[in-house]
Amino acid sequence: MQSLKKRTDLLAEEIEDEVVIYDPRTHYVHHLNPMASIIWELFDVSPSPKDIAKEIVNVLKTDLSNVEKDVQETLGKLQRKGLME
Amino acid sequence: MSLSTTRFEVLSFPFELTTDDKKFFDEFMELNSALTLPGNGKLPQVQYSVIKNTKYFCIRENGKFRNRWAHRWPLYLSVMMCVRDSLYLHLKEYLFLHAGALAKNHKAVLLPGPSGSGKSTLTLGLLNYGYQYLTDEVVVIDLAGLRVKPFQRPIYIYGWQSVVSAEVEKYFKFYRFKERYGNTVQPWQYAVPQQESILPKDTSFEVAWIVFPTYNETQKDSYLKPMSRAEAAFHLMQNGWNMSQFSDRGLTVCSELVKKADCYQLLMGDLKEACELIEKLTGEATISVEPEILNNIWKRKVLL
Repeated sequence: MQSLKKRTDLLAEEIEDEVVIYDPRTHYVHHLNPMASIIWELFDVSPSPKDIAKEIVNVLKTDLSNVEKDVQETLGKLQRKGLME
Repeated sequence: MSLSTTRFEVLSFPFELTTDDKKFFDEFMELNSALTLPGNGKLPQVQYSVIKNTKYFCIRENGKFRNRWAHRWPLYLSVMMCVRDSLYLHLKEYLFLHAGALAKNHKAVLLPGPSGSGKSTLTLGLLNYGYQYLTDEVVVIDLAGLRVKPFQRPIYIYGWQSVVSAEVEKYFKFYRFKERYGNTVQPWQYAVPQQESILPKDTSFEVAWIVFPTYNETQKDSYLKPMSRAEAAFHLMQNGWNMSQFSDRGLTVCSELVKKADCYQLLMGDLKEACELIEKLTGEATISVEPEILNNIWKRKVLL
């Protein structure tokens, strides 16, 4: 998971806290829900799921272990959709 | 055999049609009266022909075979589908969306959705509520100003029953015909915009509302749910006819469109309610519509 990178050829638009991504390779469009959008944005600050989770916990004041699991799951989904490699 | 060739223009796309069948040609001219203009001297980008041999009418595009039909009735739709494909390919200044669209007070409401979502039914229903017809299938977004241009193709309706009120009927001409499916004959009609309802080709409308209809036959009522603009942009892109021509610009265009509009999902179980919800949304006083007209559209499933 640590070595994941966002694909550089994707076009992403943030519209009112949610991200829409266009994949020019497949012509697919992806809509990220608010939490996935936060994770997508925080990934640019740090690609570590732990760091992303900590950042979210700081804002949401919630349990770190749950958030870390969610972050890892989300990054896994983004990878499976081909948005990260 | 006498061939006639005529040049037309749809949006800014010039094309030419050659045929040896006068009846088809006359029908094509009548049905297209609100959609096309006579050619204005520009060289046609595509040449279509409809030529009858012993058994079939053959449709060709630039000499290449596209389709053939034993009957005359599918010819118009079939030729116009070829024209539509050419528009998507050749006209880079427009984004084409799979959507219905109507206008009131110079503002447009878009009804995007795949086939079977109820957009054409809703378009037909809303005509009874004083909306101007822009299109039931192909929304044209002019990229220069992100405004909707009319694409007033004939509305293809199952059955011969009345689907618009007497007040609205005068704005359309109804061409009635029958189709043969094996041993059965089914009635159809085209509603073709007439006179005052034909909008000048340079008219355009601001997109003020984007409503995604979802037809649900198990549901009895209709209701609107606000939709996030990101979700609306995502669905708009999925309903693009020529999105692949734009690459990454398509997302930018859709994002800009949704940012200027209020976006909703319309769960549709009742047409009257659905029309009234949209009417309230667009801020107009309620027009009373005879229930029978809406029932003719809804219960007889004239478009679904």
